[in-house]
Amino acid sequence: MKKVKLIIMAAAIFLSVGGAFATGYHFDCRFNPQFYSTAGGYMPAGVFGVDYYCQDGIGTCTYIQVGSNYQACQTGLYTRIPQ
Amino acid sequence: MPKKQLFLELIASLLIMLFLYASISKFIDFRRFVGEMNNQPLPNSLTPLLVWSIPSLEVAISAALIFERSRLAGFYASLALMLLFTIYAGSILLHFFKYVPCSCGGVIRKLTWTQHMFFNIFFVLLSVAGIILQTRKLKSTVYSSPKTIFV
Repeated sequence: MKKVKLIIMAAAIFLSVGGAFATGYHFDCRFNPQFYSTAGGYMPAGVFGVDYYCQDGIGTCTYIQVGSNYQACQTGLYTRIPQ
Repeated sequence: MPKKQLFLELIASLLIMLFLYASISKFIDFRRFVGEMNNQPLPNSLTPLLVWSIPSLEVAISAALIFERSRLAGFYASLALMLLFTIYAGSILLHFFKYVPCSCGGVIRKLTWTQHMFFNIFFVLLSVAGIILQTRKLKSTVYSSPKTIFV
């Protein structure tokens, strides 16, 4: 009985730690400078959670600059946080 | 191994997987986790406290669930934490806060708030089942031990 328990616990720990490391590292566009779209073009978005947040909704909240183009990064609605 | 005992081990292992995966993911990508916390409709002054206490608590619950002596306490702690997460997801869905943030701060970032809600409810039910089975197991151990009758 103790052997079965040990196997189940070891598998649970191995899967969760392995899974976390396997899915943990990847390119995250949010670490790049963020921009939001306005009628006049793209403007610096500020600091996430301090200057703005992304409200749940359909659309693109922020963009990142890739060369001379802008690529969608965070989804939602760009909303300024009142200072 | 009796079926009930096996079921209990499976419940504990599922909860361990959930909490260990969630906590390690947060520690690995700590900057992102801080950003996601700031995006939640809670005061940003709470962020330093939450970003350390939540993953630490998750690790502590996982450890408690591994060992037989602390497992019941682990199930109760797991129920309390999962209920808190469920209430939070429910409050967001019911628009209790000023805005609905992205659901990216949860254990699985691609789930919507409704999916998070059902995911959490499943683990709340697992914790309840764990408490019931572990309590029964402890009672049967106490009553079947002749020493305890005379203590």
